[in-house]
Amino acid sequence: METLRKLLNHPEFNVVLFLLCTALFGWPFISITGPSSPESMFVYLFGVWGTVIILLYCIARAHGKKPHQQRPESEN
Amino acid sequence: MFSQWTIIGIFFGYLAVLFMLALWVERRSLAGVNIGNNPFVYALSFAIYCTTWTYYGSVGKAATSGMLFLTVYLGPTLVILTWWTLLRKMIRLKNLHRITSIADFISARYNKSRAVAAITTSIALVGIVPYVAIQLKAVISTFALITRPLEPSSGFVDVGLIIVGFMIVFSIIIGVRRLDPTERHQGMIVALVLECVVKLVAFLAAGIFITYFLFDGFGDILTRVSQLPGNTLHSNGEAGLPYYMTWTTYLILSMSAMLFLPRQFHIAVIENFDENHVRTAMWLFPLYMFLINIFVFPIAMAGLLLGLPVSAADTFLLGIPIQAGQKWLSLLVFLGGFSAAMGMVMISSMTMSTMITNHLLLPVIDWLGGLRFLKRYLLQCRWAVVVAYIMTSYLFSQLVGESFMLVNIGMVAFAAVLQFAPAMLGGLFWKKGNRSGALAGLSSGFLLWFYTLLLPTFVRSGWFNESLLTEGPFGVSALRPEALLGMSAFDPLSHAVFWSIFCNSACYVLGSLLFRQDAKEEMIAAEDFVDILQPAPAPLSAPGEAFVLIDAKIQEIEALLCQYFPKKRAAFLVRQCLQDRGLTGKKRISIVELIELHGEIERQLAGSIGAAAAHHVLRSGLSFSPQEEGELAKTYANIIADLKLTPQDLKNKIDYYQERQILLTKQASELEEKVRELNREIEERRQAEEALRESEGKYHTLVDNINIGVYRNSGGPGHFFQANPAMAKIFGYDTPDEFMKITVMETYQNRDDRMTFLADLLRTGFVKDRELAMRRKDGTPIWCSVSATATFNEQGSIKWIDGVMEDITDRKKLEEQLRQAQKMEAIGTLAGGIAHDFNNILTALLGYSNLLKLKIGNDQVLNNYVDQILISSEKAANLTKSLLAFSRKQIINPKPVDLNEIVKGIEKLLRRLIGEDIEFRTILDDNKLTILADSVQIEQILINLSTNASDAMPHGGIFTLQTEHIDLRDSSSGRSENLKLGEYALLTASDTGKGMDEETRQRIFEPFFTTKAVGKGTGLGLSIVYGIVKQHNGDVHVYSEPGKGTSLKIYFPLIQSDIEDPAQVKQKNLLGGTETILVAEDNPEVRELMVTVLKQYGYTVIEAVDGKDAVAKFSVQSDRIHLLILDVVMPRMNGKEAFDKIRAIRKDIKAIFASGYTADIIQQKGILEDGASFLAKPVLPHVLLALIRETLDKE
Repeated sequence: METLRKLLNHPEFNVVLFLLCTALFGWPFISITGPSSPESMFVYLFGVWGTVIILLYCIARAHGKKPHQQRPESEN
Repeated sequence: MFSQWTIIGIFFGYLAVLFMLALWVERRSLAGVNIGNNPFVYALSFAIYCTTWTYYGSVGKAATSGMLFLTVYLGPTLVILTWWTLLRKMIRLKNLHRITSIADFISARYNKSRAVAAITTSIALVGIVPYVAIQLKAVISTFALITRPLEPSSGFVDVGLIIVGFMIVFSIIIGVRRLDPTERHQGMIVALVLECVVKLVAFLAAGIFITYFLFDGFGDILTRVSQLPGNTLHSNGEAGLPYYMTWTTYLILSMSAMLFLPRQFHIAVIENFDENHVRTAMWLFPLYMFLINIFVFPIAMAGLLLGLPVSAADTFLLGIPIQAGQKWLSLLVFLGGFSAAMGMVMISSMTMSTMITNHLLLPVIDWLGGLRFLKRYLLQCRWAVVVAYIMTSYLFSQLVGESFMLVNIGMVAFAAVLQFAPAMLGGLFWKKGNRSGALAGLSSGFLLWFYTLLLPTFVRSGWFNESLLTEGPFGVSALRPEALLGMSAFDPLSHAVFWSIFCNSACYVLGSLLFRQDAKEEMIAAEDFVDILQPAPAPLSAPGEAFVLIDAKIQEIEALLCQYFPKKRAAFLVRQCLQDRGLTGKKRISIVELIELHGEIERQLAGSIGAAAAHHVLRSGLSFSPQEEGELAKTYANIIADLKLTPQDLKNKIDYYQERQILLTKQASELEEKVRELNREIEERRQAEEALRESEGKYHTLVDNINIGVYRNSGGPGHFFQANPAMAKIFGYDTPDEFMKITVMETYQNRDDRMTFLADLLRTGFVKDRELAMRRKDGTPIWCSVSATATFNEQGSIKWIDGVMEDITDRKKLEEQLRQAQKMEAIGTLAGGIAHDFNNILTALLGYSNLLKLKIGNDQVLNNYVDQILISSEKAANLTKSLLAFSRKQIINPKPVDLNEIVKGIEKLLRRLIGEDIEFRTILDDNKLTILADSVQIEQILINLSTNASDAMPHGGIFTLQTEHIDLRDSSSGRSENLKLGEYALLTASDTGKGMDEETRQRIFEPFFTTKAVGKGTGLGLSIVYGIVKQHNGDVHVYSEPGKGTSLKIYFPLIQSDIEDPAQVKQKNLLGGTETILVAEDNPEVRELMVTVLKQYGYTVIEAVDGKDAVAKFSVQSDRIHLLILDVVMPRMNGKEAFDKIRAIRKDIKAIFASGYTADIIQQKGILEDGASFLAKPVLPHVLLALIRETLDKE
């Protein structure tokens, strides 16, 4: 669990995830289901999207375990 | 479906609710409660991204292009993956530079260039106006749709203006009501969040209705669509490279929109309270988009399946519920769409008003000297901009008309803000990017966007000749806006995006490389922007000689600020800056302090007019005197001269110190991290302490309410550390605190008990159920049961003792009473046993003395001797009887007796009982008090009363027994209810003892209740008295007061019968007989006495020495024998067994049982048969003869 948290905390992991998701949401991956079958695309895109949201939740949680340095701006 | 005025009324009501909510939030913020400072509020406010363009337009896009619509939401999801780095960087920069808008942000990176800010604002203005226009258009169109059946077009008023009016007013009063240096609008954001929730609920409601009520779910819709002949989607979706190119373009545009749309920037960066909120937004906003899109495709397909025209696909969301007659659902959907538009228009107009005022209007005002008075009316200028902006958008929506569907105009706007990408991303990550590059890139990108994307829009709206698109300007086909340089492989949007971003990026890079950036810009680029997430070095401070007169400078600054603020506000800002820089109260300041003051003023001003404008204003508005300039130069020169370094050394030194500062800053950050950890630990500890307190509270509740004493004390004589209220109560103290003041030893009756207790604890570590004699505060002895555990220190001696203690005094008393009762029972049994043997002796003694007296005749001397023997024997017999009475073994045998005689008879015994210390008095009534009573029982009463009186007077006193006649025949005589009308003999027993209280008085007749010390009473004495009195139909009353003695009054009913004279009895019983009697007695003296007496009075006697002998002799002479006299207890065969055997021979035989035991014992042993007679020993001749005669004469 700790290893996974460390992995999610790496800024590089976000870059990898960004590139991976860009690929998954773009060509050529979307051509696997193909625009001629919107039903398949619907299932594919929403499935990947839901997974990414879960991953984002995990990343947000992982970042929450390690407080960063910046304090919130004080009100004037 | 609804009338126009109904919908307008609903608009008004909805906006009023939003306004009240916003107002409430702002008031709470003034009270220090920042409702907007919440990660969920922050995350949901991002949903402003979902405008009417997506609310209605997505369905339209899905109906025509399948899943292409989803790219608009997938793009932002991709961008969100970079937020933790990118957005945090932007937020920190915003905090550092007090940035107010995206134009401010970009210009701040490029040396606060006003030109960069202006061109950024211009791009946003041109790009976003159509976008706002389409929001208004959507609201107006759907308004028409929802009111159409009721309102024919003929009577249609221009509700567009009314709606626009609502939006303007609402945007101003919520978003631009006042100038805020932080440019945060909590009220507006919370209102926006409510709108976002409404539109999500509305969309989901419509989606669920259409998918699951009009159809049978997703599967049903998708199946039906696939079966449609000539499926529109399939034909449109069948595409190769262009389709994927469009897909990719949409993805890129939506990614950039998420970052660079002014309203998104405002929400994400400016309104952020805490960068930790980004974490929540990272998953919650994508989830929101996921939910709001899940039904888009099914709704689009449902619209097609229901036969709605594709051209009206943008309104499927509203059209389908209307067609289905769902009035309220339609209203909800319409309100959702209105919320989407309202939120977008409100934030956009507010953001654009800030940008336009700060970056376009102020430079113009500065440029045109005649308009400088407007600087004092910045707020009003913003209001005017909001009005102008929204009205322009409205006019644009009217002009563009129906030329494009909603989604296309959205993409045009997205493409416009994409032009910010090179300048912004380059500025954040590329140190060499500079103002020239930014200006070149932004300008070229904007121009190409206009030429390749916006211009064709105008052409298609009919504003320009169509040939411009087909043949190019001036017939140059290479310049065709949608096929620049002959590039026609792309769709128009992709084409425009490609060319604009390509040129923009290229110009930015080339411009940055070709033109050198100045030192300040380089510093900002390196330290502030690119390395913002790195720990920043602390600012250097080198105050020199204080020669600058601060008052003059303050006047100068205030005059400058008065161009933008009222005088009071300007003065306040200056005071605040002086305070922040620690210059309050100084008359002269150094040149370095002056520079720092200027920097602070610039930061404050930037909050209102933007960083670029503020920088410009400060630079141009504030002056340095020649002396100040000289001093500034001299300061720097001195620093350099003092260092005595070569330029290279200086550079190295600076690098060294910068590195050192970075290191120190890093250490400070680590320290800060440690402090945070410490704070966390403190918080955890606080929570643990809270849990502990809660646990302690439970413990205290338990310990304080329990009836058992709980304590902790030390060893030795001991002091109490802790004690619960029950502990204090056991020892008679009011509170535990009072109790804990005494030593442990003081609670012990016996010092040795404490020593033994401690020794056992030392040996075993614990003591369980130890019964200890303790004493209360007032010295009252009590018994306690103690269980304790010792805790030892390192030396092995007792550190403390934890224990529980229970007051068992009552239990001990009960145990003692039980023991007493058992003892009395044993004494009774013993007394009975003694009486048996003693009575045998007395039988012979009395019998022969009586016979002797009869034989002597009139010899006075011998008669006197015999009388003395008889008197002594009688005394011995009475003593035996008293013993039996004391042990309560006498059967009740009520006879008419004189109460006075009974008292007299037992007087001597009573005197012995009560002791010599007590004066015993008897006051007897002069007349006979004849009552029907068992004299033995009455004696028992007197014994018990005397015993009690004796105990009540341990130090002497007077005990009085008084008898008297009481006439209670009159109902008004004050008798108790327990007494019938009549005459009574009253026996009063009074003592002068300690008396008793009312509570004790109430309980004295209860069995085992006693106030005597343990071992001194059974608690049964008065119970027996009460029982006997009641058995004699009498009553007993008690009168007592503490310290004044006790008086018991016992009432016995008087009777008229004569008392049987013992002499007469004797005379009567002296009658003999001629019958034959079998006497079975193992004691030869008794047997011989009985035989002698019986023979003397004419009876024939057959002797038997035991039961067996009696049976044998009876069996031989059974016909002769008339009566059996059987001793109950005999060897070989007892009287009962012998009687049983004899009755087996002759059933009608009569018998008298003789025994020294009392009758009740005989009965208990089952010996005495019903109808048989009993002769108690010692046997008196006249009693024996009377009983024989009575038994023989009995039928």
